[in-house]
Amino acid sequence: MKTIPHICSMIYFLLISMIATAQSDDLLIREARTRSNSAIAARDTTALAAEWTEDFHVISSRNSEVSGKANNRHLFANEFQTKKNLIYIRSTDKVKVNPAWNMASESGQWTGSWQEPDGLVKIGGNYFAKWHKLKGVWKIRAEIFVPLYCTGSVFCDKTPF
Amino acid sequence: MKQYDAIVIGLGSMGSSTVYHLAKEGMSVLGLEQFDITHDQGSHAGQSRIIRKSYYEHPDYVPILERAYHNWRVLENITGVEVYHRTGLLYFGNPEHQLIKGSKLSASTYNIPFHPMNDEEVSIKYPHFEVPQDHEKWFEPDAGFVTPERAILLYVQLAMRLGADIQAKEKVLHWNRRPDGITVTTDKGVYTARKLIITAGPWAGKLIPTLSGNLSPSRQVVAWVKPKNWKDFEMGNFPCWTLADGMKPGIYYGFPILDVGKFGGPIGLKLAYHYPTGKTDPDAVSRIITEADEAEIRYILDNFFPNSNAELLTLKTCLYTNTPDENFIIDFAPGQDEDVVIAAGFSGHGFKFASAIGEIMADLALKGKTFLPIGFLSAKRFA
Repeated sequence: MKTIPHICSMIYFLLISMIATAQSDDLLIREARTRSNSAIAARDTTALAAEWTEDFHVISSRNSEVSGKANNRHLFANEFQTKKNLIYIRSTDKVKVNPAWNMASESGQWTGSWQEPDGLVKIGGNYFAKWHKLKGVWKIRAEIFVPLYCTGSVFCDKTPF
Repeated sequence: MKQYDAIVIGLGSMGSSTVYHLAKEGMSVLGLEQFDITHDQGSHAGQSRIIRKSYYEHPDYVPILERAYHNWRVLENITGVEVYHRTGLLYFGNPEHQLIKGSKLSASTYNIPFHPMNDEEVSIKYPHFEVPQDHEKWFEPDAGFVTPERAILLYVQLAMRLGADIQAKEKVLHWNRRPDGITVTTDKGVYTARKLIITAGPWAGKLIPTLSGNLSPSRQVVAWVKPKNWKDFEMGNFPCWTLADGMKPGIYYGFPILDVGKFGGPIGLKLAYHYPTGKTDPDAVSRIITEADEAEIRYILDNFFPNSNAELLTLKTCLYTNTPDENFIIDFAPGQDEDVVIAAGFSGHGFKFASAIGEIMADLALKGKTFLPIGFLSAKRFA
């Protein structure tokens, strides 16, 4: 009869430890997002790409799809060179973790701005990211950016296909 | 006796946001406030607080500010009430002054829109100012102000709707940490919790004696004045501004005239001198306005708005809580493991951060860490 309380306490500690792990993973992902934002602000494509998996995939606000860490890093390097005062900020709202599969979702709001010849572009909306914990480190596997507004330049009048 | 997950002492700028963020996570929370919600005895009263990102004090604040801007937007989305108002912020100062040097550093480090203005542009767009020729003029378009009383009320209301227990007019006498949790004794009762969060503004030093040497409350004065050309200074025609003339330490700052129908009082053009005075006792500070207080405000008007012909309308006192380096303290209380969390020493520049500080406090209390970079705000830097 002593077995039942024993099993109950084991389940209790298992649950507590799962909750603690999920909370810790939530913070690790948010920390990584903060690092990613700082890397964009510093135009540091090495630090930025360090947060991605090798097969990192992006669907951009203008519907372009780019696969692979190297390609996305090259894209950012090009944007930093061609778009004056470019800044993107991704602000996390929710993180949900699947500890069994070492995967997590992150949703939030993103903003971007840069100087076009006719004015300052201000763009933003919602985003969704898929995270994967590889060798104990959370990496971004995919991101999708939905634009909900764009103002400040004729850039915004060009409707994406 | 009800055992809470967390007790928050002080429901002003930081405490109101903290009780909300804890309640949002499903925690049972008790918030204790010694005065009304809101009140004018501490640091949060007075209609408006500047919010800006080109942070001259330290560039490490910028990621926290980004989060604060985001969390203010979240609060607005949840409640449907505006708390952030974009007016832009004008900066004036000698290029060697920290206000200009530090702001440029933060703006360039984090790519924040921050534009130089020439004398002609300023004289056409903002003829209100009389500024020395050698001063640089900069403009941060995404800066503006947030409304402190409204934000505090919204956060407390949201927390109550989520089940938080809120007690106003109840003063904390002392607290104890025991192996089975924290006990807080007030003038009306005794409460227990697993975690304690102290966001008591100028009273923080009295509640955390180990930090009191590094927390110096100071008496400050804020004024509302009546310029002759009232409309020229109304919101829409006039931005927020900050100025360092180098003649005296510290900086001057101000806001546009806000519509009292929308924002409440006091009525008038708000301005003040940001420079901590000597250490004071928050329970014994004089709230009486003196001739010296008036002279401080007249100095600003005479030197930088000589054509405004402004008359003083209202002067009020408020309190800063200053640290030796004027950076915040956000940490676990020294010697209390992770059971007691503190946010204190906001040194007169904290309110804009409140929406992020509440989230940080909740994370520290519940998870033992935060995703935001607060290492430079550690209490250990004064050890």
